[in-house]
Formats: sequence, C-alpha cells, structure tokens
Amino acid sequence: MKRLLAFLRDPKSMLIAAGIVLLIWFGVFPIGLLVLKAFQVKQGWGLDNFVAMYADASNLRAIGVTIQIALLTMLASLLASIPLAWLVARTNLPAKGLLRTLVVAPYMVPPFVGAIAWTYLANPRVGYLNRILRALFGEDALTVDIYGVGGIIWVQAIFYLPLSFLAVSHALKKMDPSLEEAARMCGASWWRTLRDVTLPLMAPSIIAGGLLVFVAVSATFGVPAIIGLPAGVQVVTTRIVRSVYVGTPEALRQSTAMAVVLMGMALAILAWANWFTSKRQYTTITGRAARLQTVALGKWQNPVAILAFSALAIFTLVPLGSMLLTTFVRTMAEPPGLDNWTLKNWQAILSADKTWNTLRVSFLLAITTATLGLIIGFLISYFKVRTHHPLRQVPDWIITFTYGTPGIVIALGAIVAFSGAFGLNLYGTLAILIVAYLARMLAYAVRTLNAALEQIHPSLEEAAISCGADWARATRDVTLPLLGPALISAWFLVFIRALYELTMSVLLYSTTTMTAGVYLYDLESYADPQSSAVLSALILILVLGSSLLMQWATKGKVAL
Amino acid sequence: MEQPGLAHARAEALILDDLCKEFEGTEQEGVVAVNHVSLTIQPGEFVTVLGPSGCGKTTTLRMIAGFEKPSRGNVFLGARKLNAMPPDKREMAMVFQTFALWPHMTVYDNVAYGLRVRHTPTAVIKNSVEMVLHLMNLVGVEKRLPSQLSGGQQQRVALARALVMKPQVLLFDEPLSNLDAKLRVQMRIEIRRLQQRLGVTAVYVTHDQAEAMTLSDRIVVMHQGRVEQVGTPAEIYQKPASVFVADFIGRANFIETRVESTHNGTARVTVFGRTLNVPYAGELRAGDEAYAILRPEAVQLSQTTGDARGEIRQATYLGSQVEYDVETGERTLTVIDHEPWAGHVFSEGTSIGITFHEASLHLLPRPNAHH
Repeated sequence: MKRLLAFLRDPKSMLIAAGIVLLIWFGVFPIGLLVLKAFQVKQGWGLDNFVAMYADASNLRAIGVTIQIALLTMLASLLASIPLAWLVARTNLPAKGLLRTLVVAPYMVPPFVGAIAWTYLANPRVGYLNRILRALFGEDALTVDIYGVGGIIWVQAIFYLPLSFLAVSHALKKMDPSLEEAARMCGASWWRTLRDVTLPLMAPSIIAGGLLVFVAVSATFGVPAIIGLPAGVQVVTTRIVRSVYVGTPEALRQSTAMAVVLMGMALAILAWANWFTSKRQYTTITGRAARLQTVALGKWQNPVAILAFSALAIFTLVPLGSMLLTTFVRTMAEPPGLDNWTLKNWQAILSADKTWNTLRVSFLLAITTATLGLIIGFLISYFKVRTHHPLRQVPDWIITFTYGTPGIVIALGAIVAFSGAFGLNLYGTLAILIVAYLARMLAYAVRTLNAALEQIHPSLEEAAISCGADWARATRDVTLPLLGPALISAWFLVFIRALYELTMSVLLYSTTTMTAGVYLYDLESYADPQSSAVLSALILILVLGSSLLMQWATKGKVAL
Repeated sequence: MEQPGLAHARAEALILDDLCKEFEGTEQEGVVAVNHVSLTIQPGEFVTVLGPSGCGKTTTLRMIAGFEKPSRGNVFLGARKLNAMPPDKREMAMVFQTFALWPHMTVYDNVAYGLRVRHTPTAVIKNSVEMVLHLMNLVGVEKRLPSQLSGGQQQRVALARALVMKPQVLLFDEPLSNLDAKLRVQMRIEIRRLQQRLGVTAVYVTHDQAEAMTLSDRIVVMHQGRVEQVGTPAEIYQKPASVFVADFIGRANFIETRVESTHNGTARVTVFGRTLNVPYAGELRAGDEAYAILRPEAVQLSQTTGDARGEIRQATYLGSQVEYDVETGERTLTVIDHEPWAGHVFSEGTSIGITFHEASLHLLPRPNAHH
C-alpha cells in the first residue's frame, strides 16, 4: 500500500500512467472493441459472424485475392530489390547515388497517385501506351490493361519497392566485410561469396523486408480500389469499405469479422518477422573503417546501368509524366496534341471551392497530427530510452501494436468506439481522423526519436542538471537542440503520411471533413480523368515539396 | 609429430615493390595511406608489420591479399606479378581481426569451405579438416556454430580455416586484438609454433609491440604510410633507425648531445660527463646535434657512485619493476629497475647517483636541429 502511494506520488509515474490510459483509451480500446464485436452474436458470444462471413463466397474470394496480391507483390519487390540493392552497395556501377534515389523516390509518391498515373498509361482504351501500340501495330495490337489483379501487383510492386529495397540495403551495409573477405581468401569467387555467404547472412533481413511489404500491401485501400474495382476485383479493404457504405447490420458484422481476420494476419506476420530477425541477427557492425569490397562489372557495367536506369525511369517517371500530360488534355477521346491542349482542367480544379476546402482539411489534419505526434512521441521515446521506470516500455508496445494494425481496422474501431456509445461522439469530426492517424503514425515519430535519443549520451543531460538546471531546462537546453534534425524529420515523416492518407479517411470523413485524398478518390470514381490528374499532380507536388523541405531543414541528414 | 600434409608445396619469396596506395573518391580522398613500400619476404619467414593505427599497415596487408589495388607498385609471389589477380586466386589465407567466422555454418563447414570451393573430393576434405582440427585442439566442437564457442576457440577455428588451405602465405590482420590478455599470450606462442612447424610464410599486422617482438623473424615499423625500419626485433630495439622507432618501440630517454667527430660508424659524444664513441644510424657529421638514446633499464641508480647525480622525483612501484623519474638538473630521466628485490626501492626526494651501460647507447640525428 505504501509502495502504491509512493508510486502514485512520483510525477513521472503520474505522467506515464496518464499517457498509458490515454493510449489505451484511444488506441487499444477501439481495436479491442472491434474484436469483441466480431465475436458478439445476438445472444452472447460465438463465431457466427465468422461463419456468415466465410459462407459468402465473395468474402472468401476477397481474402484469397488479398493474400495472392500481397504474396506476389512481395515476391516481385524482393526479386527487384535484391539485385538493385546489391548493384548500389557492391558494384562499380556508374551514378549509383542517382540509382538509389530513383529506387527510393516512389516512397514519396502516394501509392494511389501512382495507380492513377498508371491508368493514363495503360487504360485499355485511352491509355497512351495502348494508343502507341495501336498506332504502331494496328487495331488488333496487343492491349496492355492495367485494371485487374496483375495491374494491382504491378503498381504496388513498384511503389512498395523502396520498403524492401531499404531493408535489403541496410542489411548489406551492416554486414561485417571481413565475412566476405574470408570467403574470398578461401578461394571463392565474388559470385560464390555472394551465394554462400552474403545472401544466407542477409536472409533474415530479406524475409523481414518482404513481410513488411506483404503486410503493407494487404492492408492498403487506394491501389486496389482504383485499379481493382473497375475490373470487379475485390480485396478485403475494398470490401470492408463497401459494406460500411452499404451500412446494413449484416454487412457490418461480416466486415467486422473480415477486419479481424486481416488484423490477425498482419499482427501475426509482424510478430513472427520480429522474432525471427531478432533470433538470427548475424550481421554486426565492426566499427572498423574497412570498406566493403565492390565488384567490377567490367563489360557489363554500361548495359546493366542502362537497363536499371531505364527500367526505373519507365516504371515511375513515365506514368507520372503521362499524368502530368493528361492535366493539359481537353478530351480523352482524342490523343494528346496541340489541338487537344487546354488549361481548363487546371482552372476548373484551382477555382473550385471543394479543392481548397479538402486541401485545407488535409493540411490541418497533417499539421495537427504531426505536431501532436511529435510531442507525444517525444514523451514516449524519452520515457523508454531515458528512464528506468518499470512501465517505460508499455507506451512503446501500445503504439507498435496500433502501428501494426491495418488502418482499415483502426478506422472501423474508431467508428464503433467513438460514435457516442461510450460517452464520446467524435464521428464526423476532425478529431476522429486525428485519433486514427495518430494510432497508425505515432510509431514513425517514436522510432526516429528512439534512434536519435539512443545516440545522445545521458551524461550530456546529467551535466546540465549538475550545473543546476532542472529536468525541463536540461531538456530544453541540451536534449532538444541535440535532437534537432531528428525532431524535424519525425514531424515531417508523420506530416507527409497524414497529408496523403486515404485508407482510414475513406471510412472516417464527413462532408465537412473530406480530405484531398478522398476527394481525389471521388473524382476517380466519377471517371473524370483530367480532374483527377490535376488533383493528383497537386497532391504529388505538395508531398514532394514537403520531403524536399524536410531534407533542406535537416541539412540532408534525413532523406527518405 | 610432423604434419607434412599442411605445408605448401612451393616456396617463393613475397616481394613488395614500391607499393603506394592513395584513396580516391572516398572521405579519405588524397590521403596517401601507403607510401613507397618495398620489401622482400623470404619463404618461411615471419614478418610483422608494426605501427600505430592509421600508419598504413592494414592497407599494405590488404594489398598483399588483393582487397585493395595498389595505386602504384607491384606485389610479386616469386616471379608472378599478383596485381591484377583477384584475392581468391592468390594462394594466400588470412586470419581476420574479427575472426570473420560465418555464423550460419558449423565449425566443420567453416573450415571445409575453402576445400569445397576447390572441388576437393569429400574424403580428402574430411581428412584434411580432421587433421587441422586435431592440430588446433578443436576435436569435439565440429558440429557447433561459431556463436557457441569461446573467444579462444573462435580464434583457433579462424586459424584452422586458414591453415587447411595450405597457403603459400599466411596473412594476419591483428588477429589477437579481440582476445583477453592471458589468451593473447598463449595464442601468440601457438601461432609462432605452428608457423615454424609448417614453414609457411607469414605476414602479421599488429600495433602491439610485444606481439611483434615475440613472433617475428623481422619487424617492419611503419609510420604515416612509410617504412621507418626493417630489422630483427633486437635490431629494432637496440639500433632504432629513427626517433619515431626509438620512441614507439619500448621506452627511451632522448639525451641531447653534439657530435664531436665521427669515425667508422661511430660518433664521439659526451653523455653525463663521459666522452664515448657511440654507434649511430642515419647521417651525422661533426658539429651536428644528436640524440643519445638511453633505454630506462640501461640506467643504474646508486646512492654512492655515479656519472651524474640527480634526485628521485617520483617512484612508481609495479611489482616486477620500479619506475623512477630522476631529475638531473638538465632533464628528467626515466629509469626502470627490473630487480626491485635485489637492491633498494628508493623513496621520492632521495639524492641519487646515475650510471649507464655504455654499450646500450645509440645515436640518432636530431630532427629539425640544424636549420
């Protein structure tokens, strides 16, 4: 009892306890409630919802298609990122820095903008690629159709490539170079060294990177909605959004069950990947200046460079270029040209109130989420890294859990939890969007700050305290300035993601809180290609501008 | 017992001919890491490259191994020029500072790897690996992963993996720096014994002079990319070729003096009132400023007699020896008494007589002394 009282009187304990209560209330409770709902039947508890969900063939098909898409996207992005990461890290390929930038650049492009961009290129009727093919080979030429499962995989493999690429590159860079040199000294060629030593050692990281792609892809809404729905392809997320729009109790119960299945899959995979990589952490940093051996490509140098650069340019720059081109096209019925050129699309979008209203909402949401995320994230990170409080890890666990939970699940949970049934009605307000965004995105801020805080030795802060500063003063004068670039990048990492969020917004917006992303999705559904091209371009410019701003503000120390 | 199975068939000299390495396009841009290094290493010789960190010793070793390309100069093994030859074709083996054991392979697989790469028949591999594991006292741990071994065992596996290849040249990159002090002494004796037994040429990089002294036939002292001196351990210690070598190897008192005349490799100088003919290195002429190198253990302290007198400023008792700082008026002299039990441990403030062994003196030109 005494210990409990002492515990409660400690200000740090009060703060951490309050923080945990808030995180549970806004993060864990909605998700938990959704899980409970999934098992709730008319009288008591049971699996009826799951049985009903599985009984519907289109639900089963959606789950199957989701897994199929996620699996193939994962394989495709790994197959591309392993050689690319190796080329960048270990060969004498010319302009490697530029190649890396090209691979990582799609990270800054909202995936649904990428999907929209590809439709201008590979729409079966009016896509520029198909126009060119028909012009070259006549009317019965091969048609490239982006709509469908293949298209979804294609676009997602390109726009989620940075995720697996960064994981593989990181592993390649972290590897102790003498492990490879030892193989060379044993008489192994560079190719055998790669096969027998490098790849096996990187396997855990490669698998983890791939699973990251799998989970991200299976939980995303934008790309499958834009490229799948026109071809009648339903995935779990699009089906859930549709049943929420339909709104019948039966549909809602089934989508709740489906959301829980999606969440279970995502969390199980992430937990396994985490356990697997921590158990098999082979690679070590030796701290020596020895540089990694590079392989001379010899006569292959130029062909490989041309192949890699042109593939990346074609896969990302050409579709984005066609999108930009489309913003100036008068009618999609005609091929683009001087007589089919107009500024009206831009004028229409830029003079529409709805554009500015939705952009204002998006900015307001992004700035609020990023700022709150930075403050909360700093407190969470500080408690975890700097204190010895017995509960210091708990907030970090909670946000890791909410981060791993698919956005669609969080959004559904927020609807169930904060629509008035539990004394708090946020439905239709900006607040519900902010709560959901924070649940998904706090982790980006916390991870950045954790890494930075671990680099700053506590003695620096203790020295300030020994000079007579209190904790707040020491934090303000020493810790925060030293964290500088990390604070900026933590803010921007959340800001950029919130700016183009779609999956959760699509479920949580109301007429007054429609975001730019949702507006774009609306335009796309109404089949207004020029307007959506303009809005896509606007969003892309804002997102790219923000990341350039971030790089400038952190003096290039933080790049995506 | 003889181990003829592990000796390399050929015996060729390893020749470094005017090796230079300048790093380009890196953070170290423009830094000359290795500067005109020439050296001939005889077959079966154990040569240590010794120097402070950043002196270019590791870069030199990596050029021999083939991991760095010389900016200038050549590496020869016998008559064969190795410059363009990749590391896997050089018939050398290397023991790494971090051991570099592959964590995903068992001890057996680690050691057998090189032979498998060579497509050696399985039965022969088994024989060779078992022999070398036996030699290295590693019988019984074949099936373990490196992470399940102690530091000393890991070191042995790393050595076994190198030896099983029957290399012409065995390269060591500070292989003992990750071991604790006792193990280090033990392993260094073992490495020397093995190298002698197999007759393999060894190039060993270290910053630890005790290792260099005990292991080597010859020591190469490097400083700022250049070779300062090549010689046997005794030559390096007794007749250092430069102030850097005298200072870096062991401890030394540098006593300023002036050359009165030179004759036949010796110079006439006066040290502590005694005028002597002292051998010198480098170039010295009458009238030049010079340093007389006096090792601390070559000085004897006595309360009664002495060439000069001083006062004990500080006495540091270390058990096996006592170190004194003796103030002579002109300078502070470091003196080490290795037999503290034989005489007397002098207390601070004692007035003392200083004698030195004439034969221990060595003379070097004083850098920047003549303008």
